[in-house]
Amino acid sequence: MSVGDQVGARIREKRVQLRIRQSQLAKIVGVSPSYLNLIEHNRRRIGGKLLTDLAEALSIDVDLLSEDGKSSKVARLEEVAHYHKVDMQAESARELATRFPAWSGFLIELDRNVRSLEAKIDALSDRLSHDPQLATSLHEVITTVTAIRATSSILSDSDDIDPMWQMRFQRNISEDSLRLAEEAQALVDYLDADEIEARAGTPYEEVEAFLHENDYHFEMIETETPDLDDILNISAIRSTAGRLLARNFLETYQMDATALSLTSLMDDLPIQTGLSQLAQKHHCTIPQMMRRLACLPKETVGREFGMVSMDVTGSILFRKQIDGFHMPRFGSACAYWPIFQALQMPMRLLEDVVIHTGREGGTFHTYSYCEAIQDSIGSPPRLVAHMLFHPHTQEVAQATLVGATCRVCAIATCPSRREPSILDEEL
Amino acid sequence: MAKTVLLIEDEVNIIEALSFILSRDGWDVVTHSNGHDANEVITRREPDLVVLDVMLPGKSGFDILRDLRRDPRHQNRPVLMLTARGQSKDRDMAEQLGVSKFMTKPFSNADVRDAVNELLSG
Repeated sequence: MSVGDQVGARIREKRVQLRIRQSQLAKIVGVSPSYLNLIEHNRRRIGGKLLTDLAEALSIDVDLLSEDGKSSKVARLEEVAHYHKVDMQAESARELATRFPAWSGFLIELDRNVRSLEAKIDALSDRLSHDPQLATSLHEVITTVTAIRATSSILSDSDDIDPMWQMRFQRNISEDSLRLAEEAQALVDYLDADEIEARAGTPYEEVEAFLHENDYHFEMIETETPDLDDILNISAIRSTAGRLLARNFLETYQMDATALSLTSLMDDLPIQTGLSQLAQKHHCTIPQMMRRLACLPKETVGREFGMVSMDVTGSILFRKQIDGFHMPRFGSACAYWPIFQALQMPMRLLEDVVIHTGREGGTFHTYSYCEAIQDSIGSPPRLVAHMLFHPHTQEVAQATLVGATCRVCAIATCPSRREPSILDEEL
Repeated sequence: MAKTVLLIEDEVNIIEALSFILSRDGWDVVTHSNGHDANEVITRREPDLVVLDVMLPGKSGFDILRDLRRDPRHQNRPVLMLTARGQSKDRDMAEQLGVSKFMTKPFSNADVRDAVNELLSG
């Protein structure tokens, strides 16, 4: 019996719960008691109007009778409980959805709003801390306000100002107020809550939006050697710095695809063996293998990989996020990310299991490796570390607790905390 | 002879407003609008008070103050620092570098006048 066949049993369960006789219910929905009996014993499939009528007669959401017995509303409620770490028994979500459908809907909507606000807080917090464009904009606004305040005070507090100065100050206020309006509008546009997650602000964000749009994968580069400008010209990247960063990424992608073609890798997909063996087998470097796995479609590789690369200062050069492993946009990442250990042990592949304690969080298997790049003979090697990760589904005895960045991390007792978490503050 | 106030600020309309109110109070106000040669201007002008913005083109107000305090000729010269960034770390840094007084924008004209009077009458 398939799961879908359980509809009848649920109808019966609800009817019994409401103490309605089978014949009564059959009469209400206009079928014979014997036919309803067949339905209740899952011997007749039902749907459409009869299902709707039965749901109405039993005062139950039609979703709760159909599908796999777990309506989208029940599933959402369970997810809400899980997300907010509420210990809810399996049946209570269904009961809540059944008995209080309006409150359930309200709870789901509330949860959606909370998550959306949390995402915006993350993004804004990141920006307020690190975004030079925002800092400059705020500085300009405050400077202009200062000029207006100082000038208007002179005009309002003095009766004996020379007419020439008076005109001059009035003109200054007029100019400054116009400038303030423009600066404020620009700031509002920049902070526009509806777009903050999607809109590209800095060149780095522009490139990230471009990569995200393409799912980090460029089919054209896999199959031929295109002019990279053709790809950039049809992208939404407008800033010169953004184009430069995107070009660097595409050039590396092209080199990686040449060194490790998708055709040659296909025999080993989905990934079964270790990263190091795989790189050895394909005569490529470990960072190349990491980038290839991170940038190939999930369906091709067999699992979803996230990746982050950073230099020795901890500045993030590249990041590909996956669900549950939140990363800051700029530097100041969690000190317990294994990538920082790799930075201390160049040329050694480290494998770890970490638990990301962010809101959605999860357990992840990580591979971290630091390469030493010799740019020219005699120059000190440049260290660039990479961390490739994917969700870890097996039981683990021991794992390192990590976060995204101190500002949005809930591990209160972390010895490496650099600043208080905004999660502790009253917002 | 009136005491001299050197106002180092790059926002023209703030320069005009502050120059006007301080001149009206009887101070001799001279202005300068960039950071990179500010220390030379201070040495040349020898003002009784420097009113110094933090964010300046060429060199920050903090760097100007640091260089000023390293120079024995300017170690005791009063400096009133103006900044649009009111974070405590900016104030702490200014104090560590030896600022005489620190004000956050947007300030009131009365507060600036009081601060200048206090620093020049000391």
